[in-house]
This record gives sequence, C-alpha cells and structure tokens, in this order.
Amino acid sequence: MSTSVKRGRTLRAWLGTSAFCGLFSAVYEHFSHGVYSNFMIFLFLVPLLGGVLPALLLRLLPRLRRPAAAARRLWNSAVAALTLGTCLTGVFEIYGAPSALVRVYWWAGGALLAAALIAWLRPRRAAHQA
Amino acid sequence: MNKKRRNLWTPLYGLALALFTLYVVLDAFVIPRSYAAVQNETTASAIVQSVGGGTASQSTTGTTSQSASGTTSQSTSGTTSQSTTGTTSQSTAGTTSQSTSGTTSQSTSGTASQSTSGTTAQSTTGTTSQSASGTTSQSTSGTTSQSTSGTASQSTTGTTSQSTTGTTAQSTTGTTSSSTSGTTSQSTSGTASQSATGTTSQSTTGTAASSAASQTPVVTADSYSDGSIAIQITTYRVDDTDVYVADVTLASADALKTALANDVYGKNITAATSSIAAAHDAILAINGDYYSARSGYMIRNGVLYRSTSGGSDQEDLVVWADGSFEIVTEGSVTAQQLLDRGAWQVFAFGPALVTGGEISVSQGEEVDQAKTSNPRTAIGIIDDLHYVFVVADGRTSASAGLSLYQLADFLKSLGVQTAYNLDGGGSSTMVFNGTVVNNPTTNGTRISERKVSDIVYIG
Repeated sequence: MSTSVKRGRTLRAWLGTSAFCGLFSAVYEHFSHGVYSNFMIFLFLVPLLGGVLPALLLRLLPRLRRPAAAARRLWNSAVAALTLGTCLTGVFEIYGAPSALVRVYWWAGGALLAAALIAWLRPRRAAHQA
Repeated sequence: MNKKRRNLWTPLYGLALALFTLYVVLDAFVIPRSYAAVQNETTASAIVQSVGGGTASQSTTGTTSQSASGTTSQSTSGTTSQSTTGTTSQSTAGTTSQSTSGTTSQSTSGTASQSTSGTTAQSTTGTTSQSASGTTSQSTSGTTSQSTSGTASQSTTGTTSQSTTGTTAQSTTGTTSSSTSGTTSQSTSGTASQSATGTTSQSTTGTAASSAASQTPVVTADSYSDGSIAIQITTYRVDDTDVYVADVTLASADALKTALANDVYGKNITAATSSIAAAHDAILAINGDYYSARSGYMIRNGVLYRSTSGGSDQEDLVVWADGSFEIVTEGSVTAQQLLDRGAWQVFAFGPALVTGGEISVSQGEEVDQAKTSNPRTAIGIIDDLHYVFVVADGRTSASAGLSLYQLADFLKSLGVQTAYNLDGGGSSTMVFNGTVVNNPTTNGTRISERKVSDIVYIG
C-alpha cells in the first residue's frame, strides 16, 4: 500500500474519530442534567488537532519532512491516549468523582508524543551505506 | 524473498488501552473497596501531663488500657495518690483539661470503664477522696465542666453506671459527701446544670435508677414526638418544585447521627438511603455527601475517616459535639485539628448556602459545573438543637428542581442561620419512619432510590 493511500486513510480515521467525539460529548452533555465539563465539551478538539491537522499539513505541505512509520505510530498512539484521557476526565468531572488513574493517560500520551517527535526529528541513517 | 513484517504495535497497544480503560471505569464505578479510618492509625496528638508541688503516687494492678485522642492536659499540685486494682479502661476524645490542687486520693477496685468525648474541663481544689468498688462505668459526651472546691468525698460500692450526653455543668462549693451502695444507674440527656453551696450530703442504699429519657413516641404520617425528639414534615411548593422540609427539635445533639452504607468506609460501597436508615432504626434520614465520590475531610460520629483535603477552597460543614454548625474552608484548618476541637461530623460537599442568617451563594454559583435546576438535599440549623432537613424534587414534569440560590433563598425564609448543600441529583432522598417522602430520580427521570454512600439521620 502506498504512503499517500495510508495518509488518506489516517486522515479519514481521525476525521471520523473527531466526529464521533463531538457526537458523544453532545449526547453525554444532553443527559447530564446541566452538569457540564470543559473536557467533555472540547473532546472533539483532541483528535481534530492531534490527528486531522497533522495529517492535513503533511498532505498540503509536501516539502514537510515525512515521518517514518514508527514516528507515525507513536504519534497516533499518543493522540489516542490523550483522547481517551480527555473523555474519561469529562465523565468523572460530570459524575463528581475524581480518579487518580486518569493521570496515566496524560503521562502515557505525553511520553508517546515526545517519543514521536524525537523519532520524527532525529537524522535518518542512509538507506545504503558504503 | 522480501518478507513483509506485520505491524503488531497497533493491535497490542489498542488492546492494552482498552483493557486499562475498562479497569479505570470499573475502579471508579463498580469495584468495592474498604479503607481504614485515619483515626485508627493515629495516636494521641498532644498529651501534656505535669505534676508539681508535692508527692504523686500511682499504683496500678491488673489490666489498664488508656486511649486519648486530641489535646489532653493534666496538672496536679499537692499530694495525689491513685490506686487501681482490676481492669480499668479509659478512653478520651477531644479536648480534656484536668487540674487538681491539694490532697487527692482515688482508689478503684474491680472493673472501671470511663469514656469521654468532646470538651471536658475538671478543676478540683482542696481535699478530695474518691473510692469506688465493684463495676463502675461512666460515659460522657459533649461539653462537661465540673468544678469542686473544699472537701469532697465520694464512696461508691457495687455496680454504678452513669451516662451523660449534651452539656453538663456542675459546680460544688463547701463540704460534699456522697455515699452510694448497691446498684445505681443514672442517665442524663440534654443540658443539665447542678450547683450546690454549703454542706451537701447524699446517701443512697439499694437500687436507684434515675433517667431523663424519652416518653412514649407519638407518631403520625408527618410527625414524630417522644419528648426528646420532635419532627414535623411539611411540603412546600417553591419555584415549580415540591420541597420537603423536616423541622427537627432535639433535646440532645446525640440524636443527630450519620451512618455509612453497610457500616463500611470505602469506595463503591453503597446502599439505598431507606436501607441504611432501616439498619439504624432511623426516624428521619436524608442522603449525606456521598463521600466516596468526593474528596475532602470526613469525620463521622467522632471518627476521622479521611484527612486529605479536597482543596483549600473546599467548604465543609462541621457539626460540633454540642450540635452547633460551623462552615470552615479546608485551607484554614486540618481534619485532625477539627477532630481535636471536638468536631462530631464533617461533610465535604457544599457549598454553604446560608451563613449567619444570610445567603452565601451567588445566583450563578453551582456545584462544580451544575448550572441548572436539580433535585437538592440540604441541612440547616435555626437555633440550638433546632434543625431543618430539606429535600427538593426535580427532573420531573411535576418538579423542575432548584438552583442553589433558590434553595438558599428558601432556607433563609425558614429562618435558618447556617445551611449546607449535600449531595443532590438522583441521590436526593428523604425517609421518614421507613417511608420515602420525596420522589428521588435515578438514571434520569425514573422515580426510584439511588444507592448512596452515607446518610444523615435522627434516631
């Protein structure tokens, strides 16, 4: 499968995730009797800014450095962890029960994000060395 | 051959993420866990004992157990002699101060058990001689102040049981001699004050029982009265909402209690308000602060369960041993300090609705992010030992529910001096004589009781 096809699939996947998150938070807020959480309201922004925007930039700016497969996986994993963390924080805020375990999503998301950036920015080895 | 490597990261990471998320959700909402109370792990915070100006002698034989919580201070001058034989158990909670001057002699034989809660101050001047034989049990709750001057002599033989609740003040001047033989049982509830001047001599032989307790209860569909507890339930219509008010007058603060679901402190341990009420023979009960879904200080019936703060701005309701209410912020005091000062109950929900007879919430202020009308539960105090338990319906076509400001405004109209918001929404429930009074809404608009962590009750 070509890279451009994969990139198109990734963009559609994140677009779908953003739409699902927006719908999910709208339904959740509707049934939460007026109790709201900013984490729930702005949940859709996480996959939108973390998934759709980078994929669009890579498509619109061909001169931008292409991430390797490992960097792309780390980045997507980070955005997935942050999306789930945001969603659960919203749920717990609306319920009124804090959970210390949610911090794991932020730590994991941050670590994976850093790893993805390092993997993207580090100099690549030449494919065929003499 | 160019073998294509399978991407294992995505499915493995997805599986790990899904399993962890499942665990987080189960941990937050399903898996029950019981925790130990903080107080059980804490020894006395401050015990000061000083003996000066004379001889002090203490002789103990047999088993002696002494437990003290909070600040205890004892100062003795002159000759003090204390001799104890047999099993002695003494437990003190809250602030205790004892000062003795002159010659004091105390001798106890057999089993003696003494338990004191709240603030106790005892001052004795002159010659005091106290001798007890046989089984002696004394339990005191609330504020007790005893002052004796001159010669006091008390001798007790046989079984003696004395229980005092509420505020007790006793002052004796001159020579007092009291001798009791046989079985004596004395129980006092509420405020008792005794003052004697000159020579007083009291001698009791045989069996004597004195009790200022309840009369036969008179119960109707919306009222209860037994001499020491009076409850009247009234339904109001406020802002398109049915509001149930239980007007409670007590003879003793001891009747205002709390209970945990299944009598266990922990997470996800819940039961219906009516079930917890039935298990504790509650006459009247409302849901509490749902402590397991909240953070902040937690003291119940004089036991410190949780000392971690929910934030410096978290407003807590403190119910002192004498039944009075006070609103404190967790940034200004620690849970241990509250316990040491005699806090009997501490709730961490809020906010405070009324303080000093004035509304203390703004029109836009709400619990966390709750901005609309909802079912509500609140507790307030009008005067000494005169309370209101308030539950408002909501989320139904018959009742819209109240905002915090509307609730505070209503409480103020009842003459409440201090009022505090407890857990609302689907948790809001009032139970009177085993019957649910209001229309609690669980899972949206369905009328049924939600299981909660704790209740406040009269019983």
